[in-house]
Amino acid sequence: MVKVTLKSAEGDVFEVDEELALESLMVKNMIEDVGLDSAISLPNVSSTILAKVIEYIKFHMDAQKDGSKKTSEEIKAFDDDFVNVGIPTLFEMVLASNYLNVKSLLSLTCNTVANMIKTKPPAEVKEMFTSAKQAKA
Amino acid sequence: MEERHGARPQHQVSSSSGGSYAHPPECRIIDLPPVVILEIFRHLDPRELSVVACVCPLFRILASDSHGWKEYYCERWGLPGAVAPAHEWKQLYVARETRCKALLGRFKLDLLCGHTETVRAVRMVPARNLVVSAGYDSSVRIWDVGDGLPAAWSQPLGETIRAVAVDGELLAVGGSSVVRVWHASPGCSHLFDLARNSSGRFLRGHSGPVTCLGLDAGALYSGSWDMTVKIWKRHRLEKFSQSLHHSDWVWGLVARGECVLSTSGSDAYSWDVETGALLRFRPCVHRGNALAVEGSRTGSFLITGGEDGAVRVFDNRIPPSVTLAGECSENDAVAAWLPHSAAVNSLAFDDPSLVSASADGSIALMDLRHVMRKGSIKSRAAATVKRPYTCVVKGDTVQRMLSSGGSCAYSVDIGSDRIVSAGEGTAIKVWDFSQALEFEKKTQALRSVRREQRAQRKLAIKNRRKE
Repeated sequence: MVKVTLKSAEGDVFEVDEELALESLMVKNMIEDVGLDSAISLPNVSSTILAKVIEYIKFHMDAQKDGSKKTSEEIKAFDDDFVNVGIPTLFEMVLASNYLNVKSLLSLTCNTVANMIKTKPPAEVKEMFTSAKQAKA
Repeated sequence: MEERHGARPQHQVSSSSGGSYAHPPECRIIDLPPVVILEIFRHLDPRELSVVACVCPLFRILASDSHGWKEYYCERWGLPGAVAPAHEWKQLYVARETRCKALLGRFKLDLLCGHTETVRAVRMVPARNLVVSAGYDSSVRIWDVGDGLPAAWSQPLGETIRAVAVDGELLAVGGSSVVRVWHASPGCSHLFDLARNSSGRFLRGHSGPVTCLGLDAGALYSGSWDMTVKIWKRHRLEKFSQSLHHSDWVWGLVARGECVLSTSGSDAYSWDVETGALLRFRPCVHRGNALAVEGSRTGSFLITGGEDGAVRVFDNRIPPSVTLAGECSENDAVAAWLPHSAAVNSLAFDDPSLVSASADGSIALMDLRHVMRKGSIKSRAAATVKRPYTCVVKGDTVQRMLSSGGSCAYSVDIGSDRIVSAGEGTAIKVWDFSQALEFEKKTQALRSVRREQRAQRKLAIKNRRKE
């Protein structure tokens, strides 16, 4: 299996399967442009976030494979757990998925933020997202 | 996969992980690029977007500019006649939304007199303020509801007319076994020149009386007591392109989105327009015949009215629980009303208001908003569950009852702040709610002025106390 080397903002190196890396349209374009020889540096994504993104893609690729025993409830539980993080991390994931162009993750994280906005009066939304103290998700 | 930095991510991103990358000290939603914020807003529905617009100026711009408004508008009402520039979709949507409130306000009742016998069918062309009617006296009449005067009428056609369908280009009426069509004459103020071309063009194919007609962008649909629905393509009207077979007399049909919804006997059918394939079959949706049918604009909701006086709403995206004839699919309904004591003869739907006309002489007005909200584009995309309905609305309250004078009402239509109904008795009734809307606007303006004054007074008192 061909490996792709991704380099996070901190300079940490991640080696992942090519199949997995191609889920990110941005990485896919990069590979098409520069080839597989050199490490692909992602200056906008920190190591922690990149690890999370990889974890997400890996889980969903496994779930989509034939013969996987994961039920839709398990996938949903994983997704719920995955986005159950603090607001700063969530925003970084939104940014990262937007930058890496991973459609499903962008949709998931944006939906989470949207759900946080839903059913709240404007004042609360404002407080939630702009005040110095960081509200819990 | 190998991860050198494989530790499970912590909840808080620490900025001490080294390297040249510096985390933003505090990531806030307004620091996100506008594209990303828009992406987040795409997951909100109109009401939530309006709330978010109050948060800060940036959100206001983003939430008003959102392309989603167009999507929401088109999903509910289709493209408006005049194409609006992008930033006006929100205003359009809000205006349309407030308009339905007018139906609860004061109305002016107009009577259109001219028919000599019972009127079986009445349809509106909201864009042109026209009403087309026909009935047992076998003549077709076009009325201008703006001034309440007859605009044109045909010679008696010599047969009972039970169905009328009309839009800006085509007028079709159904008699005994033939469908007559008129094309719009350019430059004619009332669209169709009935005086000059009195008998119209004949479409032959049915072997029984035509009971219902429907029109969409591509075709004309006709249903008949010969148990078929025939599809006539607009560009080739002379011969029907398809015939959809039912197991009983066809009572009602409506073309919505990609499908034709029809009722025959007490069953309801959904057909694919292109292939003519049967998409959904719901047996026995009413006790007795299902006389009337309507649908939401995209065809995802099927609404039926029957001889038992009930109005039921079905979600067409959910397959029926029973598919065998003889069994009852009444319980599949996601909402049901029992507004009438006699048969429901006709239904008309203008998102979110549904009107039904009944043989007991009343017109009922119902609100489908809470039923439909669960099925909008966004929640559909998110819905992984097969049944999005946690609670089913049963026996819901009817918003308003209008009386059509105690005599049997056969047909009803709704559009542009008006409800039109016809039945026994020769007069067509028009309920005009346009004044109610102005009244509503005035009270709203007054209310906001009062609120502002109150806020100013409070502020003044506060300032005085400080001093």
